[in-house]
Amino acid sequence: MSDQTMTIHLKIWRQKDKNSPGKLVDYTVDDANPDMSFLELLDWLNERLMNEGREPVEFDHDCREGICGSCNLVLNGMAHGPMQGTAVCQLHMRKYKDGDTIVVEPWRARAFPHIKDLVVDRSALDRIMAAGGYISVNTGAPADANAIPINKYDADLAFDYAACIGCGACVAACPNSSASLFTGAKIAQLAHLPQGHPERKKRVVSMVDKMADEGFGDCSNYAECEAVCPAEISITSIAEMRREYFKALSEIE
Amino acid sequence: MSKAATFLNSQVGRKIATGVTGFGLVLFIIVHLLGNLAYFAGAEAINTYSHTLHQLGPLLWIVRLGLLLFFVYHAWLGISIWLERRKARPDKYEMYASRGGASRQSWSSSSMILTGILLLLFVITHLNTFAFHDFEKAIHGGVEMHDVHARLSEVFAQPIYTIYYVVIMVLLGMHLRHGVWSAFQSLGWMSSKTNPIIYSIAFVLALIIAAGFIGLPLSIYFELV
Amino acid sequence: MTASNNGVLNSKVPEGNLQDKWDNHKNNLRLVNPANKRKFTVLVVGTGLAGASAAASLAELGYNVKAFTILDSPRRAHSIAAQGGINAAKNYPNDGDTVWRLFHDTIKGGDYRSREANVFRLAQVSNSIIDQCVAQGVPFAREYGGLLDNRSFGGAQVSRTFYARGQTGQQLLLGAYSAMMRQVHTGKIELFPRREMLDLVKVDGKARGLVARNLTTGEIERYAGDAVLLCTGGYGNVYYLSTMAKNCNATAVWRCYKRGAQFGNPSFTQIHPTCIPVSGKYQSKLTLMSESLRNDGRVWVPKKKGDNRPPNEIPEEDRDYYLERRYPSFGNLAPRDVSSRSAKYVCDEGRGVGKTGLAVYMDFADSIKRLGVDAIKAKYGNLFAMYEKITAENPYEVPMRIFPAVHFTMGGLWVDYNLSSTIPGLYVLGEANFADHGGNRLGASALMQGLADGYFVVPYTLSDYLAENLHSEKIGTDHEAFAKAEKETMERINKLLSVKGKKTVLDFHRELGELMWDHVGMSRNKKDLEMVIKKITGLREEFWKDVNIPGENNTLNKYLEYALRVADYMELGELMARDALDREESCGGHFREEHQTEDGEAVRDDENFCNVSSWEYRGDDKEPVKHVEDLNFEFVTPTQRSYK
Repeated sequence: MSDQTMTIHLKIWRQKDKNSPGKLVDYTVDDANPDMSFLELLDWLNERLMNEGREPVEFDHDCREGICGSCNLVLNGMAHGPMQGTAVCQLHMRKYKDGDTIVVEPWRARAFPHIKDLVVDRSALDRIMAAGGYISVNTGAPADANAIPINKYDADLAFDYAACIGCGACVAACPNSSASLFTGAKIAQLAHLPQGHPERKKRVVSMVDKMADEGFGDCSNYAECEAVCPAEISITSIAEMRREYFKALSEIE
Repeated sequence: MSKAATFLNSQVGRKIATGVTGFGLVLFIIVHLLGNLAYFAGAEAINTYSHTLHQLGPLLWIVRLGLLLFFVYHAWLGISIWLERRKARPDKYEMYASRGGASRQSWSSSSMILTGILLLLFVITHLNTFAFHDFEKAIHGGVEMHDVHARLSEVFAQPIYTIYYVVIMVLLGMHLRHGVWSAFQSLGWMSSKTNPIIYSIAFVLALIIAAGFIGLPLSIYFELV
Repeated sequence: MTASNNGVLNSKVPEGNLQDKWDNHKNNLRLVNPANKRKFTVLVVGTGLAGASAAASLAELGYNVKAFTILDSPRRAHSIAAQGGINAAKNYPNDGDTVWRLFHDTIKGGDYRSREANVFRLAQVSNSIIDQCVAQGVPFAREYGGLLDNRSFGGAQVSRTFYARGQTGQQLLLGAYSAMMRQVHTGKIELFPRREMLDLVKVDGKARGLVARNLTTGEIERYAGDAVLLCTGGYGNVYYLSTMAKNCNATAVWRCYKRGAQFGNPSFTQIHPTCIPVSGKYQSKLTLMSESLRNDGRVWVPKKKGDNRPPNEIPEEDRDYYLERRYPSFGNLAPRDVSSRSAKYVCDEGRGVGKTGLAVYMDFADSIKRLGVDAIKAKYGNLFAMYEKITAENPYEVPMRIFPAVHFTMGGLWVDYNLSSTIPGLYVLGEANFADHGGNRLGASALMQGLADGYFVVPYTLSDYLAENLHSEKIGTDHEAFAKAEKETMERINKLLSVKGKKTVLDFHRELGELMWDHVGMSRNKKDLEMVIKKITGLREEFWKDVNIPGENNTLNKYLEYALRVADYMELGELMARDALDREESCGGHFREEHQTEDGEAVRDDENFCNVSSWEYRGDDKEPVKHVEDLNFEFVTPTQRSYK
């Protein structure tokens, strides 16, 4: 808890809509509190802008506890800012120094069309999921949950991959705008579970194809995605996706 | 055929192909390096080595053709992925920085396209300097053969060419520093445990190859052999 | 206010033994044949656990589903943030759990203010939920033998909680979301992200569609269907600060209330005892710390008022371990409502800690001494890390500061056994309905309820309604009812935008939140409630005169979305206060100061209030009318809770 305040200079990307040009606009918040989260700093700024009769900055946010994957800001060139394993909603101003300047930009990728200011459309990720990120089981009466034992190693690994929050930071940080970490994580999760095996070939082929269709770039193994991932998902998932794809040759048409 | 084409055109397939061709080229480079080292054993050793290779006849042409294919395909994949990347992010960031940590963005990985293109250009001049050269003849054990030893001694006596060659070999080292590790990842031969090990091995391998290639011209230039 | 039971509320609980009710009911529900299912369109609003599971299940059956979410993706619904786990009566650990026991614990935990038959059905289908989720690939925690692991949660005597690290809600939601995306792929579900339902469209008294604002373009869009499923979660954000996500809101529910759906037990809110305290005015949201911490943390405050010494310098004899003192047998594990209220009392006495004085210590020093740092780290490492990330204090060395926060709303739209509201064709699922948790919800049962409603209840009960309406006329969006709803919605938006006052939406929301938290929170009394109702009325008037909303309608405008929600919160807040005022007893999370024992314990009044208060809207200038559904306990006997 802190009583001191700090001055933070912000350069925020303002863009009315997809068709209008955007630019960085300077703002200064001279009474930021070190205990504020970065999003609360934006709230604080917005309140001031509204009181001055100016338009507030639009940004996506929801749970503000690092799990929903809504927030998506690039701070000083880094997706979700400087803290490892942390979504920007959990980044607190005490990580910055009094007088710091922060450049705030939206996720940038062709597959994430711009909407307004810092808000982009990430539905391409949903469409990758729709292409095969599931196990085809209807609601009904499946076998007892304990009917298939799953060794703890695979179960834990599957969880590591399943922890993806779908924020798209991997795409935003990738120099190629690749969605390989997002896609690989789901493929790898289901590849480690026996329930996922019947459809594994079809799944990897359609999800990989969809990824390219949506306009995401190729992966060049920069591993920047792993570095910025709030869920700290390993690029091993990408290696697993490639193994799965190779094994799925028979399914390719 | 269409199945192979689909595979090779997919994002994963392209990466697997880059890795496979990359590994092939690394293998060639290692053999080439071992051949170069024969220089240190004297004129007869390296000339005989070269002569033996030439005696392989059609097999040599098959290998050469294969190499050419790998080389061209590898380069084409690299360039097309790089072109694709520009399309995938039409609006650039005003500010971009690597987070560090798990990131493998480095002087090596970020310059793959540059080092790759320079290596491509180098190979053309390199072939001109050595492969297509009208060699002097030498006779060892009664057999007439190309005097590769003399050509090497002659070329690396020139300071400009030597510097050029050394610089290119440093670039080759940089290319391999990311490339070797990346090929393992592209082929899916990676787990979170082996990832850091392979990353270190790639560094050592790149260092050895670059040092090995640089050793010969410098030794000749400074008349150490 | 007049109380009446004029027959409007028919809970439609089937006859028979508790154990047989649901099975008998299913046998009697009408079916829709596969060829006819294709002819029906179901509108599902909200894509959390309840919405996603319902949308997927109905699409699998062959209905056409249109699913709406206010977020950019269905996967972001706030179910995702649930940490602890999900209960089921599997009895895998062989510790004596049964469906009956889960039922009994839930109904007792709810302080006997929920419907027996509903709660029993919930316990019955709990096992199928686990089976379903495992089949979908939800990575629950497992033991080395490969079988599922269970833990005890929230003071339960059996280990019946299934979990996926501290992210159970996330994994369950992603399971339901995947099932849903599979149906999106087949075309049976049409997905509408960034859409906010702003009104219900009724034709001939039945729910036949909705109007929604396209949050990207501001357009008001019309959607017609044969039934509407509200799966829009709880209304905890009425309090401004809560553990709810920022976009959780009550607008869809409130709009349906204003179209005639009754609101059940609006004052029943759950205030969770272990949240990270507020640190300043800029605070936008509260973060929950799992209550599992209470197994090893000792809660205390200084004995003396205004003792400003750092916690580690306050000697043992100057500390008041108030939970252990007041509740020797349960101690730090006293139920959520009791622990929260106790924390409020010590802070009211001026013994709260931290800069704001609104926090109590949760101290792990004794446990660390007893078990060692490593054992504590193994159990709570991720929670301690989270705490440190937010507060920059190391809980291994300094006691954590915690304070209660609004966490869940047990109240919601009134539904019958079929989950149908009082508007035919309008079904309400999950936290949005009032049904299963009575006056207080047990840990790890919110996830259970959301999925039970979506996977295993509504697919059956909805078919009965649709079968009955097989021959009813198809309504298109050109029907005049849509035009009317759209016009009214547009008028509301334009009116708001035209105010151009001086105060921001945040100002109003903070003010409302403060009123609600102080007087309709952990402890309530007649005088304050009457005062709050007046004050909210004033605040509402001021809002419509002086709110400042930036920008325009025809674009993404989050403060406009927010203003529409806050306008509804103010009306709902008033109804919550009315309900709290009306309920002259203390039960569960609802504590009326007039109804307590000499030593401050809750006194329930089963004589007069063993019932559900269901409120009916009668017009903006009229007071709502209360209807009563009596709760008949045939199979369990209500007892007074005691944690002494």
